[in-house]
Amino acid sequence: MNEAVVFSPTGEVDPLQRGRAEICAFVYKECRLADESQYDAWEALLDDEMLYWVPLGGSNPDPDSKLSIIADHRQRLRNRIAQLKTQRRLAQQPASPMRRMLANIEISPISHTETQVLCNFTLHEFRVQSTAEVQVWAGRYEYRLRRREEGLRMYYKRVDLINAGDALPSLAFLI
Amino acid sequence: MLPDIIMFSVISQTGLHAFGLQGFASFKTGEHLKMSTLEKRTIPTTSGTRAPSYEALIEHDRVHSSLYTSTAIFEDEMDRLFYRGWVFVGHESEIPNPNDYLTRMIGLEPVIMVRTKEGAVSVLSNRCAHRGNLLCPRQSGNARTFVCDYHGWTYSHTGELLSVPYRGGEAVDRSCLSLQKPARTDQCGGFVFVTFNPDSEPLGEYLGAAKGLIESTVSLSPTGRINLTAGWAKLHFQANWKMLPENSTDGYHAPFTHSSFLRTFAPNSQYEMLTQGEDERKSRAIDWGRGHVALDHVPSYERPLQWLGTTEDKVPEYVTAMEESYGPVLARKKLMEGPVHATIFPNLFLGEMNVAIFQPISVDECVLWSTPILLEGVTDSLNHRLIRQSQAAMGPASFLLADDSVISERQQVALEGRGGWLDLSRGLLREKRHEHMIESHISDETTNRGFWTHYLKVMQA
Repeated sequence: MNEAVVFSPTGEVDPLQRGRAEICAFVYKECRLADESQYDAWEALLDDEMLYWVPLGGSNPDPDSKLSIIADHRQRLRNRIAQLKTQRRLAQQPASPMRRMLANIEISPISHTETQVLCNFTLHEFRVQSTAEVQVWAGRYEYRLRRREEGLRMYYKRVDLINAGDALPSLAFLI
Repeated sequence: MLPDIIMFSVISQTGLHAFGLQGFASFKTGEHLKMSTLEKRTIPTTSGTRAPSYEALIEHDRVHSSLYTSTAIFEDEMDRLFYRGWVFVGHESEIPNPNDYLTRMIGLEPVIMVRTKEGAVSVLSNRCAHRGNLLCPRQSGNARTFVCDYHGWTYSHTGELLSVPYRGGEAVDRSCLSLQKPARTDQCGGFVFVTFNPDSEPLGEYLGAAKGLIESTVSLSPTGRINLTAGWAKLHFQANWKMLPENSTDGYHAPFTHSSFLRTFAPNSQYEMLTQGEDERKSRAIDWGRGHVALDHVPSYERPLQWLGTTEDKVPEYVTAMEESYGPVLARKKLMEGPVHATIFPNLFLGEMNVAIFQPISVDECVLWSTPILLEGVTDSLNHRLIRQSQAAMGPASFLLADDSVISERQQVALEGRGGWLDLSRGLLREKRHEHMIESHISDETTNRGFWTHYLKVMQA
């Protein structure tokens, strides 16, 4: 995925490309802040309305009527971050060093102020707080972003792990 | 692994054999082993296939680390606990319609649990009688018969071999080639248990007091029926499976392991009681016998539905439905007392409004399955609340169990070295022994002692 802004022959930035670059920059930043467990900076990317959803897998996942791995609305996500910030959240004490890669990014407008971003990801997590092994997480992200006066904000992040229905180790970090 | 040289007894076809104890001064050999009845010799413990003298490893107030690290002990547990004893498989609500099936593990034995056309629950080994292929590779589905993908052998829901392609070559009677299945399958409150041991006691006898714990759980539904249909979260532990039953009814660790949770969530919640000091806490640890142990929070609840983190005025439909089903007095008692928090030996956990399964994988690997208990005959919003509470408590990204899993994994790392004894003495001086149960302070290791007492009995039987 090349996010270089393409210039028109007259030297003007193609507005579509400019929008695309801004959106990609947003999701890359979101991933970097999550990788580095920068909880406050990550939370600052969120809209007041939010669903942070990791389905369990299987057919017809639903955050309300089925069990999910995570189905946090804004308040629960606020609490999840508050627990991480106590410095006593043992499953992230110390926080896992992580790096994730995004690829196959597809961007589609939802409305004139909202955009959907679909992409694949791989995430390598060093489980430094327990087994000291590297855990690979892989799957698909769906973001929904909204343009606010202060810039883009995330109001939906869905994480479909390829092995969501299988046994998973502690997943206390921001995925 | 076990210490280099250790006192062993091995159950073999010829009986009990004991092996030399040297260089391990902390074992009190004379107290545990009746040498006159045992053949004495020394073996290297790296053979990995010998089961030890459990009396030497399990005392009333401590257990030895090799119980968590020995592959020989793990193999012995699969045989004695999971293949000879009664084991929980699943709940009948998971296969509501004829031909519905799911697949699970009993110890290391893959099984199928299926609803027959007649509506009965049948459990079968998930292994083709021909060449041992995993007959049913899916986690769940609906199938009129089970057809092996390898050579097309077809079986009924009760395991009979129905057909074999190319009949001309058949050399033996098909009736000899049924699927293996447990010796007995039985239910309590829709919870399906099996045993591969034809001589085992009836399920009711095995469950003992746990029968009442199951019945009290399902009676929180106005219809007396629960549904385990929301899906199972599976939390992987790089740790020995026995840490799951031990930790699940450990009433001591919460203020420490879960301090981040309590700081974040406890104020004004049903978890507030966990932040109380030792003298304020009213909940009890209970050993019901037969390895079934519980944390009893009933004495801590001061108002109805405290266990659900709500009040009667917020769920009026539920209160009314319960009163209509059980009458106002019994309904109020149930709404006051709430669900149980109990381990049913060896692999079932009734974790308040969650059901969990302890699945061993190897000596240092296991999985905790968990699902919320959905109530029949209540509003969707009440069941939604139960799903959200389960997500908060039990799964890989939960606010509680994710921390427990890391502690268990650290324990496993620490126990793999030279090892030693794990102390279980807490509360011995203050627990009260009654005829059918032992009770003590919530933080006392009465529950863990109850687990190990029964474990020792079964492993020596």
